[in-house]
Amino acid sequence: MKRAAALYLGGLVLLVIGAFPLAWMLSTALKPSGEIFATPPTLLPRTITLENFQRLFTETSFLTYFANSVTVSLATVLVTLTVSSMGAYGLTRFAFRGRERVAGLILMTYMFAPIMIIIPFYILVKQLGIVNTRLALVLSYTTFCLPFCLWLLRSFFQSIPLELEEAAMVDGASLPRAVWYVVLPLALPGIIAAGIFTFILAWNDFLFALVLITSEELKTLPVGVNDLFNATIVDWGMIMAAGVVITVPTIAFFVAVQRYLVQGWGAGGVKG
Amino acid sequence: MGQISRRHFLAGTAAVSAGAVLTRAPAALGQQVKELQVWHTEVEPQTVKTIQDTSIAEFEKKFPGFKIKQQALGWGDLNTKLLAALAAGSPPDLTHLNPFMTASLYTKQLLRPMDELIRAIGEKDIHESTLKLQYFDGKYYGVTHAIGATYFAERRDLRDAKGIKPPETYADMLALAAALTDEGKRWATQMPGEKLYMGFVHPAEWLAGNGGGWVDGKTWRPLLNSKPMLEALDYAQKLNKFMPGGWSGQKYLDTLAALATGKIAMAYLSGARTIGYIERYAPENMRDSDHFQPLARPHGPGGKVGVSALDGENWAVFTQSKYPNEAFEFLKLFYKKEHYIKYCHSVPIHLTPILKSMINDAEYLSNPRIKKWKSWHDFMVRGLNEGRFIPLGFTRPEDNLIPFLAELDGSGIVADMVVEVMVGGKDIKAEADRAQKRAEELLTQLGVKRWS
Amino acid sequence: MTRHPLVGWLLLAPSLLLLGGLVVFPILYNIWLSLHDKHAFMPVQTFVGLRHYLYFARDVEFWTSVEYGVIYAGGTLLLQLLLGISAALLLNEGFRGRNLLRGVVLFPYMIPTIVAVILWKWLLNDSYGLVNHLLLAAGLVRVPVAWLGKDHIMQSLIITSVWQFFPFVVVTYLARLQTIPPELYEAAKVDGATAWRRFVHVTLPQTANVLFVIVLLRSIFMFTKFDTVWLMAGEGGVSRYVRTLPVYAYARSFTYLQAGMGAALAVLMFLLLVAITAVYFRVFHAEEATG
Repeated sequence: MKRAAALYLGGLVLLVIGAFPLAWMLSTALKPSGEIFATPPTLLPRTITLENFQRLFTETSFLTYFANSVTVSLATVLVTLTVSSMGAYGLTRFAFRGRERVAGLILMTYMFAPIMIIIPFYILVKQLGIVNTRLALVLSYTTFCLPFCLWLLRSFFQSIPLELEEAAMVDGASLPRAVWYVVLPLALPGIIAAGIFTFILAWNDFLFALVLITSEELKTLPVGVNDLFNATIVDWGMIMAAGVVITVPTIAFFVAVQRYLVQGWGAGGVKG
Repeated sequence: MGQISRRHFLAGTAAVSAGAVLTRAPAALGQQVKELQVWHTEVEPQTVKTIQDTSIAEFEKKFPGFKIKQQALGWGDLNTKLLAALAAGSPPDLTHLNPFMTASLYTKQLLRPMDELIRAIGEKDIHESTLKLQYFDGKYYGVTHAIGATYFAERRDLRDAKGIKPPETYADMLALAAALTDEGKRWATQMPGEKLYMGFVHPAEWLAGNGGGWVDGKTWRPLLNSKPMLEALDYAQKLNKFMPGGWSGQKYLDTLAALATGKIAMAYLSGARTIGYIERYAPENMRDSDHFQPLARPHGPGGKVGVSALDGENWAVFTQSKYPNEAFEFLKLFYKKEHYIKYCHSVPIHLTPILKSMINDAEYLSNPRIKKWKSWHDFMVRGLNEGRFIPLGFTRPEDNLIPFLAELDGSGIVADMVVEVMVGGKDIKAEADRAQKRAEELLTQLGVKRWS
Repeated sequence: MTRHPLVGWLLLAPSLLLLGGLVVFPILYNIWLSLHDKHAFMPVQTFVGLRHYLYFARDVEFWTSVEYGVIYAGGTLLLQLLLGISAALLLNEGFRGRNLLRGVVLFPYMIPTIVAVILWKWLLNDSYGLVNHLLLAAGLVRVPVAWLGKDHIMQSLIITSVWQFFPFVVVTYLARLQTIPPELYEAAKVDGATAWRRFVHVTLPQTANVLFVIVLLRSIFMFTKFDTVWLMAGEGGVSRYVRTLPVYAYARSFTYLQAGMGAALAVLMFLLLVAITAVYFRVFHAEEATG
């Protein structure tokens, strides 16, 4: 019983940490301008209004930005997971000369702060003729996520015993089938973690989207939200509304997908 | 050889097709139509729309085959993009620049002269306060898009209630601040926490109003530990007592909200944007110029008249711009009266025209917001005529020729000094000496050292 | 036959191509640039060799920024680990509402940095912020705390960063926890081990590998973090109290307009990380070579 109480207490603390700022954001988004600056601040809005959301959708290109962010982020996840799982598998399951050295070099590329890469990167992208395209964004985000994902997945692959695949192959499976049916399910939690990381990095990036994109129609959310913050009057209500619209669907998506993640995370006959 | 599994093949194909889809959208444009890149810092949606519907629309009609892509960016973002573009050798065709940056670009031969444009707009019609700001070696290299004066915005009713006259000296100001501060309930004033303001624009104002300057006019040696600066820092350190504790972590726009909601009695930095905040956040019965008024800055012991900053970015065209002639043609349309009036009306008073003929024009003045807040407009016109404004970041008119103000501002040397003195309460002489040393080192590194 | 080393290279090839093409060039460009004097506006530069490096070795601002970087990265990492691992352990247990909580705990990670920073700046605002309001109401402080002022800005920055990034530790650690065979715990329980001993003797060893990688990757990530620091305090007067190395490097290039010097700082940051990582590997005897 003590255990259950401790669990629920811990759960509550976690809920507050994670959800309270969200609730505050939602509350501010639903308040009219006058109440936002009230002292003492009110937790539950005295008057609930949807005008902030309304203005967000009608006065700004918010929906366009949203669509762009979703496209770019999902594309990045797709490309990055594919490339990095292949790479991580190659790094762990094949003994070739210089393997550790290559892994080390890859890690080193991660150590160069992206902020300092922006200018030569822009020059490079210009030479390639893909400035102001979503492809340029996908490529840049993929490149930044690769070292991280490669190392993370490498760690997960390393903890899966080689014998499992060998056993499957002894049973007559080809290597690809062995990987698909034995290794990947066990590595799935790691792949999902890498996927989440990649999605968030692409979803979140401001600097590269700012420099590489010039068209209004191709802007992503962070650049769009930043514009809101630069307007004549900082419209807190509208900014918080933007925050709500950005996060609530993503959270809803993850909560819904939880069921499948549980399967995935629990696959391989372990706790779930 | 290994086989590529079907999953990987499918995923690979998906990725390639995704790539094809993602590039398709903008690739369609651009083949036959030439695009002019125009960057500016007026991010208001209504201003962007006005430019699009007036000058850009007429330009595109007059010059078929050309389209204008305007981008409105905050200054920091514009700076970042501009640096990337310059590094890649492809700057925009037309952009806003901060006036204290233009000289730096000019001395590196990056800007195009625009004498013909100035004549087309009307050299004599452009207000003297901004005409020669980008006049280097006999030619014009920039034209201001609009001017906006800055000043204190005060709660007039509160000062009147205490029966205090508008402050003229530092001492007056400190006395006023003490009178207006109501412990725990209201502070006298709040300075914006951004480095650009507290660490460059306001120190420049202090120096200008106290007979000082950034550098020696002939040798360009910094004067950060000179008497005018020390006196100003002393004033600032004392003024800090009457400002909210967290001011250095807040922004310019936060101070306007604080004024409107009554947390402070005077916004230190205010332009006509304050009006927007007053109308949105101030109590309903106070949204007028009886309650909120501009107030001029005090001067220091070494000066005669208090000076505040005149905000006004200038348009500039680069040597490397792709379509410079079209850029100039666009600007001619931009300043055409029917378009320019609408542009200035998109954020009234904040965007005051640079053309003398327009400032007193009846049609211009008939704008409802200008009418309602006429005293603010008049304050600015008076100040312009009396020379109480100086361009952002300058301490003297000749500062427009200094080619390293952008770097001085960007280094944060002055900002560090100010924050240590004001918020850190440190010894003024020691911090000023330290800043002086850093500044001398910076200028030496930049290769502009002329003193010995 | 199917374990031919060449296949390994082939699988790695796309990664190497992307990295080589898009990252290696910028890195080499930076190294090259760091040996030159270049004004950010100009496309020309003069060779100066190691002058910038020698300058920074004696530059007070440089060492201060390293110190701030270590404080920021170290503080954030430590708290992220504590909070993240505890949360992961909690979410590994079965209880009602756990799946929903797993989703909710991801929330801080989901929002774009700019929104997170805005949210926290709003919460920590000394006049209108909720945090001060609660502290005052609870009687824990007598005057509003200037969270974003010079005395507390580093703490505020750390709080925001921990809040924003701890979910990642949760997700990754939890992913590994989920794959620990339950038999190991059963065996330990049979031996009479308490929860703490089970953690120390089963969980920790099983998750050591992933923990090693998390700490490594997160440290690098936080040490080179630019946007959170910049957005929270970069352009304000308080920036001097949180001027970490990435912020200083950015400033030298983009605001001091000394591109060569900025590049040198980027390279120095890089070298620092390489050195620390090398030590880290040595100390923790990484590389259990499997597969």
